[in-house]
Amino acid sequence: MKVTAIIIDDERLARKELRSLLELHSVIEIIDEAANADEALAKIHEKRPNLIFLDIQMPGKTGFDLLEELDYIPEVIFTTAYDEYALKAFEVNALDYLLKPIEEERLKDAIDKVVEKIELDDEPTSAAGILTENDQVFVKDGDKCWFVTLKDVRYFESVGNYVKVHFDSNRPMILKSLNNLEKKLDSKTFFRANRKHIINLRWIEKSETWFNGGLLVTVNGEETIEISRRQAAKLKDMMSL
Amino acid sequence: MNKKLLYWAAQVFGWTTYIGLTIILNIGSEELDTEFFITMVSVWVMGLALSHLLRFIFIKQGWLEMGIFKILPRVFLTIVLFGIGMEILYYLSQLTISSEPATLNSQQLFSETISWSFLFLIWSLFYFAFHFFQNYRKEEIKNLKWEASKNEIELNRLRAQLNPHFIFNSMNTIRALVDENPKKSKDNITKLSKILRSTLLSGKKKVIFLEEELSLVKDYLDLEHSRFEERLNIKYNIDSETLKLNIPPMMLQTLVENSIKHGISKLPEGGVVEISASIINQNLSINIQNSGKYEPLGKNQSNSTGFGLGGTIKRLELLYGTSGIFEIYNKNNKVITKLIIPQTISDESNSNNH
Repeated sequence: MKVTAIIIDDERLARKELRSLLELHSVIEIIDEAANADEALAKIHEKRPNLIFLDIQMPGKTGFDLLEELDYIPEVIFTTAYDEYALKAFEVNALDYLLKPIEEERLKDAIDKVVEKIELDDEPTSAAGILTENDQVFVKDGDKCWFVTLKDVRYFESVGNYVKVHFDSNRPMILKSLNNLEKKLDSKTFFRANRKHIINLRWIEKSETWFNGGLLVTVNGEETIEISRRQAAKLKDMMSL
Repeated sequence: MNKKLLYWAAQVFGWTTYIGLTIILNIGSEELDTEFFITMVSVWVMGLALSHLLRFIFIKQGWLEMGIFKILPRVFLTIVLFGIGMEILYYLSQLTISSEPATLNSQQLFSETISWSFLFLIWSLFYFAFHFFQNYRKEEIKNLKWEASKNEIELNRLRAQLNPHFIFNSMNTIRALVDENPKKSKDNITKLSKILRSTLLSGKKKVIFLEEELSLVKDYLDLEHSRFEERLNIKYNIDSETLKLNIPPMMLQTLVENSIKHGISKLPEGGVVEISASIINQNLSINIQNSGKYEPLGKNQSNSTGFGLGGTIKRLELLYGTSGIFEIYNKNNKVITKLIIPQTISDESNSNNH
């Protein structure tokens, strides 16, 4: 198995240095390099690498800005000279970062971890543009950041121009519209319950009939979401198949 | 000053004055006999002893550290008790000294007790007043010393800042250059060493020659040029007459670092840094122009690891008062940083160094 990777760093010599360190790791295949966030955005979209090595401090947009703009998030190993503090933003997720100049031992550990993770996610990534439940998204709310695997999301809730992402005990807001989100999510797992909610079908614990032929589903014990009449019919249809 | 000696001198002086005054006031009355003098001596001894005991109580009970409202009732009560004690002692001494039979006149006992208490009140007032005055001066001296050492520490802190981001990125660049350009990697190691050395030593001098500061800045910019490559263009415009003028160490360096950190490193296509130095009205005038945009109180300042502009302003003020000038503003898509350094401070160690 080969892990495809893109190196993202604004300094040519830093990219070169990482490339030469990676020569020892035949499992990693470097398919491209990018010198800034915009270049990286296009290349990740086009080449869909398994992994990116991402410098945080870059001119124009930072590494975090890049992650926020990505729909498809590969595995990420951050590289940084000094911004350990910036990585403290990640509270829940174990994530990996390398301090420059990079120690060979640390690099090896980080690669081993990523390879293991990629092998575990046996389900192949679906057709371009659609996010399956094993894909992860990057969510940033204020100072906090998360990598969220979609199967952990119970439901998305529309609040004004934002969408609240409900997972674990967190509910950060992202600036997206529910309609756009619906188009990107895998419809086998994520179902548009009503005007304001998209729910993850795997989290539904029970459903009962509600007014006007609608349904009331219970998610995670006490959270209940109403499914409109029209959508309820659709859901019954899907389930009966 | 020996506090103990002062205390005893004041004690002896105070009580002797009291006795002296009593004697003077009694001149002319027929009471002025041997008996009276013996009484006076015994009062002197008893007063001294009791007031010394009073001081002992003040200190042991920690009343000197208490607030005024806590002290007042305690001291008042103690003084009354001491007045009574003094009166008892006085009465007993009269029994032995006086040839006349002692009489127990309650009104006289009462008025004497009051006057003894009053005496101890005055004594206490003096004691506390002196103590508070001393304390106040001590506090003031402590404050002054603290202020001075704070300024000293502050100055050193402002001098010895080096952006860790820069160091680690430079190291990383050097690692890459070892393969690509061994000669350049060696040069860069030397330059980085020189920078580290001047940073470490800069705390020792108030000012250095501009040429020394410039050689540091050049090393620094060469290293940054290795990192940013064609994205960083450097221009110097240095009047040769300014080379022997004085500048606080690391001051220009810090501003140049800022121009890279908030300027060039933020621009994907890079830009220019231009450093000019000239003499204006016998002061050293420095001008840095860099591509980019200065954003006062921008997001980037709050999480910056260096100390930046605030530190420079503070340092100028500490060294030159109001005659040092610092300005930063945007003009034609460039950031202009101006610095005017008076030549009022010189470092004696400077001349011995060459």
